[in-house]
Amino acid sequence: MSQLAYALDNQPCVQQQPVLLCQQQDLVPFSGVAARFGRHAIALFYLPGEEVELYGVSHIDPASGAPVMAHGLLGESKGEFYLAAPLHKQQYRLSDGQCLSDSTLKLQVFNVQLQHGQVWLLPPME
Amino acid sequence: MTTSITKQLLVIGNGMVGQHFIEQFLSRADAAQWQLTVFAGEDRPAYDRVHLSDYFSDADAGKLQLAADSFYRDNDVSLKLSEPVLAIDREAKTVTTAKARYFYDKLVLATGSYPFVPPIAGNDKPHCLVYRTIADLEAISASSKDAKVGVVIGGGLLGLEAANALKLLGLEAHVVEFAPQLMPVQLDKDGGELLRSKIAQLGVSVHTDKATSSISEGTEQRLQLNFSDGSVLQTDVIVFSAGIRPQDQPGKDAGLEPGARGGIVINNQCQTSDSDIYAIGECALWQGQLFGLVAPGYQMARTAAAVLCGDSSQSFTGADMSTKLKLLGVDVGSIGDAHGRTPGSISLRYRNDLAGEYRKLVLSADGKQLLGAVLVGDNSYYDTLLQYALNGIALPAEPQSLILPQSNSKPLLGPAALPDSATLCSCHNVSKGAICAALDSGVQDLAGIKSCTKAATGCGGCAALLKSVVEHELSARGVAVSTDLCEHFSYSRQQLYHLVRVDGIKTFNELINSHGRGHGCEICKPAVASILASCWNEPVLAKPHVALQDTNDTFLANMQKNGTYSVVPRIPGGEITPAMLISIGKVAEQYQLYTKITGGQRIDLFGATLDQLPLIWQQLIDAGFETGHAYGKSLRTVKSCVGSTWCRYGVQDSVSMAILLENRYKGVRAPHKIKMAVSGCTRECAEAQSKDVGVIATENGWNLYVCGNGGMKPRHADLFATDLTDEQLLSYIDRLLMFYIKTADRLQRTASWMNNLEGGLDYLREVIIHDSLGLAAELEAQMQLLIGNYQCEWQTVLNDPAQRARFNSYVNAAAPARSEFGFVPERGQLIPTRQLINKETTL
Ligand SMILES: Cc1cc2nc3c(=O)[nH]c(=O)nc-3n(C[C@H](O)[C@H](O)[C@H](O)COP(=O)(O)OP(=O)(O)OC[C@H]3O[C@@H](n4cnc5c(N)ncnc54)[C@H](O)[C@@H]3O)c2cc1C
Ligand code: SF4
Repeated sequence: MSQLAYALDNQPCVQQQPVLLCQQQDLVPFSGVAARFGRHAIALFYLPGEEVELYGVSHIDPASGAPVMAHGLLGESKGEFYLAAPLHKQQYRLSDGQCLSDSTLKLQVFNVQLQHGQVWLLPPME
Repeated sequence: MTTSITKQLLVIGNGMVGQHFIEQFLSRADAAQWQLTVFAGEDRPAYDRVHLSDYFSDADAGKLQLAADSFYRDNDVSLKLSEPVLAIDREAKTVTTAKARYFYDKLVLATGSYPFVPPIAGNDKPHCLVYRTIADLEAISASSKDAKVGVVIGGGLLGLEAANALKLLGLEAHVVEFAPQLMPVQLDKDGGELLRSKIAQLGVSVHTDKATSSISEGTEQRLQLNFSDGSVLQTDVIVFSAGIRPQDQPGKDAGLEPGARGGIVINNQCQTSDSDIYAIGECALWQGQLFGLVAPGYQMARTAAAVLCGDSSQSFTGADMSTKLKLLGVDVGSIGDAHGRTPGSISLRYRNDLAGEYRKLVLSADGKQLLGAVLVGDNSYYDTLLQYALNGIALPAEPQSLILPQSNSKPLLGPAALPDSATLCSCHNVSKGAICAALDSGVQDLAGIKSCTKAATGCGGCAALLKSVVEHELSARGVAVSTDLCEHFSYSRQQLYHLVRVDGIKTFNELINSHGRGHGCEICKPAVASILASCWNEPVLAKPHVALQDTNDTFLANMQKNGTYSVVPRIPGGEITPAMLISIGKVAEQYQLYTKITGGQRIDLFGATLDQLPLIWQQLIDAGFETGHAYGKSLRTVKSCVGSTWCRYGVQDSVSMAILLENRYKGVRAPHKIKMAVSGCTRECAEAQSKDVGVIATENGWNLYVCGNGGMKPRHADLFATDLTDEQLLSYIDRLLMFYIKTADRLQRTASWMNNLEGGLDYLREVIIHDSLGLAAELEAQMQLLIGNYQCEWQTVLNDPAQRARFNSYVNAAAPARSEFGFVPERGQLIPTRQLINKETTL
């Protein structure tokens, strides 16, 4: 197993307990913020009023390895939301992390939820 | 293996026509049977002589070269540089050079012309030069180094080009012409007179009706011209441009039939009196006529290549000698029978001394056909007139409408009206029919047409016409070019700008709800944010705008490859006090930022983490700096030279002007970044002509250049207006920038914006200088609003705790250590680790 140059890594998150990440007021509507959980960094995108209001994906850019994904722009195409990577503008679908412009790239997806004004990281869905 | 006998084809001369011949010949299948050897009199492969004068504007001879060095190698052409042919032996079928003898089966003469130097006593003194080759230009350049005055002998087309070159070299330029008027070949008396007065206004002294009798040593300057009327003129440099003579030497010596006034006689197949020897280009004489232009030379090259390969479909049957050019910035055009020599012809003239415009039509006796025309001052009439003349299109009932100024638009002969046989590009002989055929075969756009037909890639004179034909034909074929910004807005950027302004729209949501659909994307969000900022100049990080910005605009810093940011304080005009310089150094040292001086005369500090940005900026602002907007699509820097403050050549205070401009336009959001520069004299040390807005000092004020850029596709800025006062300069730039902001596409630099404006530079001059759209006052007022609303965005962020909170890397954790981003030392500073991702990592 190889290591990133970071204190962060891209290994799958296998956390089995719910973890409180932050408060709802830390989120920025229709934009991203980053939260830390151990060696993971999670980009949280908040879409108030939409069917899915909160998305969590890895903050690490799969193409460059830099912790920047929360700073990408939120986009929408034919009703689907995606994230445009800030360095080279690849598009990643928020629902499953798949890169739309390069099939070899994928963002890790985190199971996050907004409950009573709090943002929770839940065990990965099967 | 069977050996096929290769035949020897020798070409003498690797000028423009010789080169075109090689390319035409190689494109034919039969070429494989031939071994091609080319003798060049000069020490470099063929270059674009038509654009020779560009050498003075960017001094890069390499850019003029017509084919890459590899072309000759790849095509197995043996190119013998600096090996002129001295003699031809037609009996033995050989040519001789200083190095060897070579056999030929067929021989092509493409030896061009040489400049005629009139037999004046003293014409061989040092600093007496000519204007034909790159070597000549190098000599003129060297001779001008310590010179003050330059004289061109000859007031024809090339003489005026040479005078412009002398002016660009910083000399006081004079033109001496033997005839009573300038350009006697192409222009009539009225046209010549007007051209003279325009050129005199540009600071070139014109002396007509002057015969030079001798050249002697000067007293004030190096040389003295003595005229037959007893007057004298002192100068440091003399350039002879008194016409050209065909270089017929090796051919004539070999007994090929010469013309009475020089040249090698050819028939319609471009064969000389010896059917194994061809002559093409300026050395060839066809029916008593020499052709001193590239287009006819190219036609001869095509013909000779075809005939040599046994293709009898091509022949040379004369050529059109019409010309359109810009001399010292003055439009001049001459079509067909400009002097009205056809018996019975009638002429119509329009002369306006106030506007400095002159136009003449020469009509057939029945008034139905256009035989010739003369234009001075405005060439926008040229393309249409040329099409009438070349294609014999019947004139409208009132032909004067073709040259009378019209308030709204030029009398365009619409692309639809042109017959298929109409030649659009005479350099490459491309007809409208050929363009249509290319479109029918699947070519979809202008660029494709240019590369497959070569149209508009010669002298470029037909570019505008070609564009209109292609666009017209595309739309006739139902190909619609979509200008929609993205799937959320069915409008172009320009239309959205208009909607925002007219409806007073202040947020993205308002706009997408009223004029768009969906939620937006990374294309439309920043574009709309920029439009909103350009219209109202509210802080880009104000609440409703945060989610719209590109990362760089969100954090007011440029994101670098490892996820850290750069910090670029504004240093207006590149002027900085030692104390300020030290304070930048201190900040950089404290945060271990990699420090580099930029091309825009300021300092970039790299490697700050998000959390450090507000801390760093607080210190910079305390030290008196402001944001440099390096992250924004907005004014970057105004580069300057020290100008008259220090430089012995400087004629205006370029630093003060640069600082004034930088402070005036800082922060204004535009469709793309904007760069400017101000030079203190024509030596142009600030490289203003490579900027969107370039200002160059003159004795009388400022010359304004517009729409240049460096980068991937460099473009020289165009001279827009001359000798402006400070006030004029500011108001023109105000209008220009605002007009650009209003009408350009997303991410379109000023250069391509202008190229895509219908009417280009001339149209822009009309709008900005002559206020043809009646917009000037509004544009200035809108710019004033933007200038008035300026604030340093970093100051605004630091004053607002909520905005400041955006700079925390994590909402739930402390700031990450800088080491997490991966740095390694290099040459005493820290740079990003070369590779962040170990390639084995499976994602
Ligand atoms: C400043 C300038 C501006 C111009 N502007 C325009 C314009 O706007 N439009 C236009 O249509 N035309 C223009 N022209 C004219 C155009 O450049 C010429 O018509 C064209 O270059 C002719 O091509 P050519 O091959 O016949 O001759 P050249 O280009 O002169 O080439 C002839 C070559 O043959 C070489 N040569 C001569 N003798 C020998 C020998 N014995 N052995 C080996 N090599 C030899 C010479 O060294 C030279 O390199 C301009 C010319 C100049 C100088
Ligand atoms: S451009 Fe500026 S620095 Fe260069 S010579 Fe002129 S005044 Fe001097």
